[in-house]
Amino acid sequence: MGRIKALDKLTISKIAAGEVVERPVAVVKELIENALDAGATEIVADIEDGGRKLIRVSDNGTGMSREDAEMCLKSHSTSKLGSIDDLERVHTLGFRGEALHSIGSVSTLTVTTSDNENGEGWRVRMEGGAEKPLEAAARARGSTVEVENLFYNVPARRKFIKSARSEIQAVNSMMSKMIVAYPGVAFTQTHNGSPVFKAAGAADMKERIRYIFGKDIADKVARSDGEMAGMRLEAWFTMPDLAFPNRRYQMFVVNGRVVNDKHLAAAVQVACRGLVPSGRHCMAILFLDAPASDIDPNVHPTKSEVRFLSPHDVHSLVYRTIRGRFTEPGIIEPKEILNPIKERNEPAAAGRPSSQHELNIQVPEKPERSAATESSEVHAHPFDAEAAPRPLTQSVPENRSSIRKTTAENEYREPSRIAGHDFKVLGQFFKTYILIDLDGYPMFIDQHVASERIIYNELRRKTKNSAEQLQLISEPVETPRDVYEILSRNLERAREAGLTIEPFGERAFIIRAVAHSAGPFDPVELLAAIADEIRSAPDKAPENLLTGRLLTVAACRMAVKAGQTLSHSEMDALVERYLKEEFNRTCPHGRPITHKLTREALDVWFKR
Amino acid sequence: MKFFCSRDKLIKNLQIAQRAVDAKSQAAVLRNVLMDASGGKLNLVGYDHRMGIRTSIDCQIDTEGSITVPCALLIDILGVMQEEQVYFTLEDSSMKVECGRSKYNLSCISADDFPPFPKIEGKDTFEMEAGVLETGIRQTIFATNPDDHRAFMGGVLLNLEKNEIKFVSTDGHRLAMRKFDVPGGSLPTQKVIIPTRTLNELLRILPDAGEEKVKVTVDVKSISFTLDGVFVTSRLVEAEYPKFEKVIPTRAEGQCRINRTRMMGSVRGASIMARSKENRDLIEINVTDDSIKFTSSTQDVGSASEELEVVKKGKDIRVAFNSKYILDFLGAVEEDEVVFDYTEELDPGLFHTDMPGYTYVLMPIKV
Repeated sequence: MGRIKALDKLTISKIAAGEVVERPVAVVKELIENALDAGATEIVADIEDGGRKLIRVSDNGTGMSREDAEMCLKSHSTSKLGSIDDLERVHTLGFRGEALHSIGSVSTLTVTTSDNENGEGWRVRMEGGAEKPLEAAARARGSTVEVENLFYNVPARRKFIKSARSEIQAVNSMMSKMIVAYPGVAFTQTHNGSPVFKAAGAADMKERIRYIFGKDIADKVARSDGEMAGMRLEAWFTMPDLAFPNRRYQMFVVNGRVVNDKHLAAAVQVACRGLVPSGRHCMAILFLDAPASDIDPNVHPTKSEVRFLSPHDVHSLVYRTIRGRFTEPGIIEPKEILNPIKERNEPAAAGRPSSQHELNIQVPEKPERSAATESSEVHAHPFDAEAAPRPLTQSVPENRSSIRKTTAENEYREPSRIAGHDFKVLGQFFKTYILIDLDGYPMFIDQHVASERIIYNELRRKTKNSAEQLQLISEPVETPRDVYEILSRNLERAREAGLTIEPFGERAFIIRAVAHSAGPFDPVELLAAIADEIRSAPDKAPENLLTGRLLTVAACRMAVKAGQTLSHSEMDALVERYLKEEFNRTCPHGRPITHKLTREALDVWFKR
Repeated sequence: MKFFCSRDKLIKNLQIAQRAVDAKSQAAVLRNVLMDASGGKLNLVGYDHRMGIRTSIDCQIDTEGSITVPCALLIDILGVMQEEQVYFTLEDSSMKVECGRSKYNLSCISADDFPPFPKIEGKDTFEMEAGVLETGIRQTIFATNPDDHRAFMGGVLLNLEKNEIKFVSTDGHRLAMRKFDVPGGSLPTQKVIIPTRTLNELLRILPDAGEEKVKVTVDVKSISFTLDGVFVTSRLVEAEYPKFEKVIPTRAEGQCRINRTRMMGSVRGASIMARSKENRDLIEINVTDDSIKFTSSTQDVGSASEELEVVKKGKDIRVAFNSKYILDFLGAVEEDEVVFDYTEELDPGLFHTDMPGYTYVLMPIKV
């Protein structure tokens, strides 16, 4: 008997369901999109136990007739698409005709609907894929879809559902996007009976932004409109007043659908260049309306991605709309935002300094001079015991008194042993790089970044138990909902990060004390950054963000500069301290500090 | 437009008007000073949309007129000239400046492009002694913080009631308040925040004003001062000032009286050892029996201890403050003796003198 069998219909449905409904949040999203497609102006979502027990979405949309109600649970049945040609002109959120059937095959699904004002309605049910006969039910116009015991018959999937808390967080995050994307629709959401969102309908965009992102962002948000090649763009954004460490506060709505799109994100990034510090992102909400034929939303079953017919046009529309706002005079003064950690360590005289050639004449003839040492300089300190010709140093001023010496001439130096490594400083090149012999390997060290790392670590160690400046006047700081949710559960960690805060009201904090060594900061931005830190590494002790940034700048200023001549003893001390450091791979800004040459690399170079 | 005037007076007054000229403005006309010769006077106006200064000098006018001239350039030119009188003649859009044998030509921008001062509406006008204004500003301005995101910290609150004037400032860590009684006064009830920058400029102009009265006009969005022939107008900080009264401690469990000059020396001394990046001027104060000790230490650098005699009432205390904040207070008052009221280690400390009217509240640092 053959081992390959055709799958039965129920199994096929369950597998298909997995694509559309991965998690409770996907179900809620599908149902809300259906309600929006039905023209609802009021949508109520009730969730229980993170959606595992119950998801109920009610709307006041057009509802369904008796015939439609009977059809709606069938696989690939939809009111939104007649034939394949219609796919070219999709303007509704749903169209695949998969959702209800898929959901019904992995849960107990009840749809109660009415398309008239007489209170005459119908109820259809599906239990684990088995349809139950239609019953009459009383209901005002609109639909209510109830999903109970999601994935009860797919244990494998159920196992992967996370805790009620993380599922409801995902739902809340999706809902907040919907609330922003549809300012005209009233949304209410509850979880286990307690209210989560209650956004009044017919709101204007600023009200919605305020509701979801808080007062500070809403106060700073600007709007700009653009049009191009039949596409219309409405952009809301906060730059250059406020920037965040990630794109959490960016949202794209294409033809009414909330999507993730790399093109749009990239266009925003380019538009912000020079106005927002590099590595940071402005808050941006883009509403793009494009002819349905220019867009393919059918990329992914959950429709979270779109494909543009001409991504180029979209890019330049976004760029022009956002950027244009800042060239208009008098609207926002585009203050020049410099990257706070921008370095000014361009070597003053990188490469071969011409002035030093004259000094060269005074140096006694070298017994041998290789090609390599011709172009390099090695400095030894005049007061170094091992330094060569003394008389010379007396005739030249201190700062120019370093003597050119070749490595070949360098007297033998005992390797020093530090942190399990043997090292010997061989010399300084281009006044920027120190060449050392590390356990027999040649290694270049960037003197500026190495010194920066040492100073930074030292400052960090000292400020660990930082004193706190208590606040005399504390005003509540309103935060975005997601930030509030995380921080209110992690007050102690916020304190470690430099801020002593207390929850105030349903989404604000009062700052009671600030790390004494803190520099100036924007509290909304900082709270968001701390929340991100906690989110991305829940178990790691958070960096003291407040002082961290400040220390980075301080370390950069205090560090040895590129282009600075170092004596042998200075180089020894620097390398020794550097090798002792714990986190020594990159500078505080993330640049590499060392480059080690291996035998293999050299062999390849010489084609051995 | 043709006139001549005294070079020294012109330089002096141009330098006053220049304080409201934004040399880095994107709009060329705002980098200029407006010169308006009419009625025997030469008016000089600087205005950057936030603050405006108008000052005037006597001059001999041949033809009246007005024009805007690059401010910094004109001052530089006048600075190198030698003779007492300087002659101005406008030819097309170029100003000829002559003094002795020096001849300069400056490109100008029409006065029509220069923005007018905002219209004053719904105004309250009253007079204040120049000395009151000067002291009020000087004793509070240092506790503002224009860089903070909270707008109200970017200026000093001027709180007027019938016969009382209050100047209040705070940066969130401390609060300075100077109160003046105006017996029999009939001041309007007003509560406005004046930007720190405007006050700084006023401070530079005020010492010349002597005993004079300053005419103050408060409007919804702006405030203006007229003193000694100089008119200063400024936008107000548009923000709600917090209820500052409630942060001023009303009781204390201990008090000590300290000689001001000695205390200044001791705090300065202790702050030397607290200069590092990580300490940022943190010093500890320890009050016991009849002495006060100021200490500080920085790892790998060293430590300091300065002790003074005090007259103490009530409990002992050990508390940490930012030494800069204490020095600000000590530098702002003139009395020989200062008073420090305290309660607990983490409660605000109150600094004042026996002269009523000045209050300085300082939040400690939790070590």
